[in-house]
Amino acid sequence: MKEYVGKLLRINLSLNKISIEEIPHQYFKDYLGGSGLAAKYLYDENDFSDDVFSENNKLVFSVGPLNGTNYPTSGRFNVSCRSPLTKAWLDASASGRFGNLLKKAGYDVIIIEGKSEKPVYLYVNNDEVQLRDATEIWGEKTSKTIERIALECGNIKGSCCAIGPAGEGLVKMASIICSGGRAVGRGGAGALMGSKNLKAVFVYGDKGISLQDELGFKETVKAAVGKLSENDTAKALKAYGTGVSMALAFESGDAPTKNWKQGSWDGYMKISGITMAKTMLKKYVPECYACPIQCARHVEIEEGPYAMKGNGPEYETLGAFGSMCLNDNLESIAYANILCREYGLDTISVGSAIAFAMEAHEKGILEESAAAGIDLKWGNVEAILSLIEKIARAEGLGELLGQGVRRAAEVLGKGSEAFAVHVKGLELPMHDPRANYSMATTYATSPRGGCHMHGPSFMFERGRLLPDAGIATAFSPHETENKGYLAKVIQDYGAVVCSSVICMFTTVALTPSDLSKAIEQSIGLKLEAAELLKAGERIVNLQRAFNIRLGLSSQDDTLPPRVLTSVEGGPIEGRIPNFHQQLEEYYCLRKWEKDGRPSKEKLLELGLESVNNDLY
Amino acid sequence: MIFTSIRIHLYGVIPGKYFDLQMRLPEEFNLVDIESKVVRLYRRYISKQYITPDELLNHECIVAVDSKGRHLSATESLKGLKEIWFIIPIAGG
Repeated sequence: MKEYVGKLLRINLSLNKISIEEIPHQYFKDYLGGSGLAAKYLYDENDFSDDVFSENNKLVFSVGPLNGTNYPTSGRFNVSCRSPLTKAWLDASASGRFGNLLKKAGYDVIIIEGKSEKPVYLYVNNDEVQLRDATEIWGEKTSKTIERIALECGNIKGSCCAIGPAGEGLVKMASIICSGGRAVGRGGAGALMGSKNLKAVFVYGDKGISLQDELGFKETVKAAVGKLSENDTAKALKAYGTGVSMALAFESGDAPTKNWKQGSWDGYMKISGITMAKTMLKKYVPECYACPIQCARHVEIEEGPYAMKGNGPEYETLGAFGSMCLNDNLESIAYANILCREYGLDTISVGSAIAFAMEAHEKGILEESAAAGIDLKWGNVEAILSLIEKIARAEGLGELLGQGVRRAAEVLGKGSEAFAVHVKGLELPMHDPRANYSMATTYATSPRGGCHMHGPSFMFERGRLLPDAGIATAFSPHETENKGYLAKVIQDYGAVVCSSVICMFTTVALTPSDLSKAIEQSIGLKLEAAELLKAGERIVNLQRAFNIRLGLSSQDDTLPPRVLTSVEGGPIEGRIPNFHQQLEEYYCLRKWEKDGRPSKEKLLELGLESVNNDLY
Repeated sequence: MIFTSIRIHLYGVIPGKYFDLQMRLPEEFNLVDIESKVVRLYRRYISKQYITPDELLNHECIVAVDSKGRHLSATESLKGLKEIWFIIPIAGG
C-alpha cells in the first residue's frame, strides 16, 4: 500500500512524552481509518471505569484513506473517545482542512492520553511535534484562540481546532471548534479535551501524497465531482445550505416542534435556508477542502441586537433553537449559533435542553426560583440566549441543563422523564422518527446514542436508492416493514463513510462502489463494495462491543416516550412507528443476542475473535 | 368567468431553485390546472424525471401540499386555496 501513511502520533500529557508508532496494515483493511481505526485503538486501550474524565479516557484524532488527496470533501477529520455526556462510545467529525493537513503532515492517528499539569496546545508541523504552553489563551473563546495560535505559529496555512470556555469548564455538551468555524459537535469531546488541559491542536503538513494509480484516481475524482455537481440534492444544498430542509418540515413533519410535541407551526419558512439566502447570506467563503457541494453558509447581520457575522446556522441548529423552542426569529438563531461556536457548545444538545426547560417550566416542574428571573415561555429569544451563556459557564440553571436532558430529568423528576428526548443520554437531532420510521431503529441502536450521522436512513425514505448496498426499491417513510433492514444497511455504509472520513452528504450521489474504486486507486487497498460494507459492519459491531463492555445492553436500545406518542396536528398526526417490530427485525439481521451482545457467530464471522473472548 | 389568484411555491422543482410565483386561474380549479400551467411555463428548466407523459408534475418525485402540510390529490377542487407548495422532498442536514 502506497498511500497509507501508517503512522500514529501518541501524546502522553502526564509524562509530556511524544512518540510515533507504526499502524499495522491489517488495521486499515479491517477498519479503514477514521472512526473505525479509532474504535480499534479505544477498544484495545481505553479505560472502561466509571470516570469519564479519567486520565486514561483517551482522545483520538484520526483520518482515513482518502484524506490528503483531493477527493470530494476529504478535508474532514474524526474525533473519538468515550463521551462525557453519555459515558458511551463517541465519534464526531468536522469539515474544513484539518484532515487534509494532518494526513499531509504524515499521520493517520493522534492519540492523546493522560492529563497536562498546565494548559497546553499540541503543535504539529510535519515532523515537528511539540506541546506548547497555553496558559495565556486559557479562557479565550474559540475564534480568538484559533487566531492567536495561528499568529503564534506564524502559519496561516495551518488548521487549528480548539475548545472554548465550555470545554474548559467540563460542560458535558462542549464541542471542539475548528478553523473556519466548523464543529466536532456532539457528545462533549470538548469537555474531555478540557479535562486534559488541552486547549487546542494545530496542524500543518505539506508532504507529498503518492497515489497508487494517479491517472485513474484523477479520473475518479473528476467523475465524483461531476456526479455531485449534477445531483439535485447537492444543488439544493449548494444554493440554500442545509437549512433548505426546513422547507420540507411542514410537509413531512420531519422537524421536531415544541420539544417534539407539536405537529405543525407557521414559523418553518421564516427560519429556512431560503429565508436566510434572502435576508443575511453573504458571498460564500470556501472553508471545506475539495468540496463541490459547499453547503456551509456565511451570514451577516449588520445592526440590531443580533448583529454578527460568520458561519450561518445549519438545519440542525435552525431546528434546535427554532422550531424546538417555537422561535421564528432567524436573526436570533444566527446569533445563538455564533454564541455556541464561541463558547464551544453543541447546538443540538443545547437547543434541546432549552426546549426541555421551557416545557418543564410550562408544566410547573421547573420552579420560578430555578429559572432565576429568566422567563422561560416558548419562543422567548432572550431566554434562549441567556441560557446559552449560563450553560457555557455552568451557572445556575445552565449548570443542570449542560449535563443533558437525561440528567436534568433525573434531578427534576415529577414526570419530566416523559419529555426528556434522548437516547443513551444524547439528545435527538432534528429528524422525527414519526416522519421517517427507519429513524426509530437508527436512533435506538446507534453506538453514540440519538444520532443521525451514523446512519442517516431518513435520506433513503424519500425515494433515494443505493442499489449496490441493497437498496434497490424506494422505501415509504410510514411503513414498518424492512425498516430494521434499512437502518442496518445505512449504518454499515455510514460507518464506511465515517471511517473514510468524508462528508455524509457525498452519499446523495456516491455509492460504495465509487468509494471502493477511489480507495483502491489512492492507497492500493482492494476492497469490493460488498467487502467495504463488511468492514462497515465490523466497525459497527466493534463500537457496539465497546458499549457492551461499559455495561450497556439491549435495555438501552430504547426511544424516549415522547417520540412514541403522536404529535398534535400536522401531517404526521397519529403516525407512530412500530418500534419493537422494527427493532426485532434489526436484531435478527445483525445477529445480536436478546441481551444486546453481538452473537459469537457474528463476531467470529467478522474476525473479531478477541472481542468474542471479552464478551463471552 | 370569475378568476382567482394563488401563490405557487416551487421548491426544488427546478433543481437548486426555490421561488414563488403568483398565478391567475378560474375560481374553480384543481391540481391538474396548476401543474399543466407550471409545466408549460418551466418545461425547459424542470428535470425530465419530474414531468409525466401527461405533461403534469410527477408525484413520485414531487409532493403538492397546502400551507398546513395537507397533501393534495389530483382532481379535488381547490377553490378558495390561496397557497400551494410543490416540493422535492430533499432530506438533509
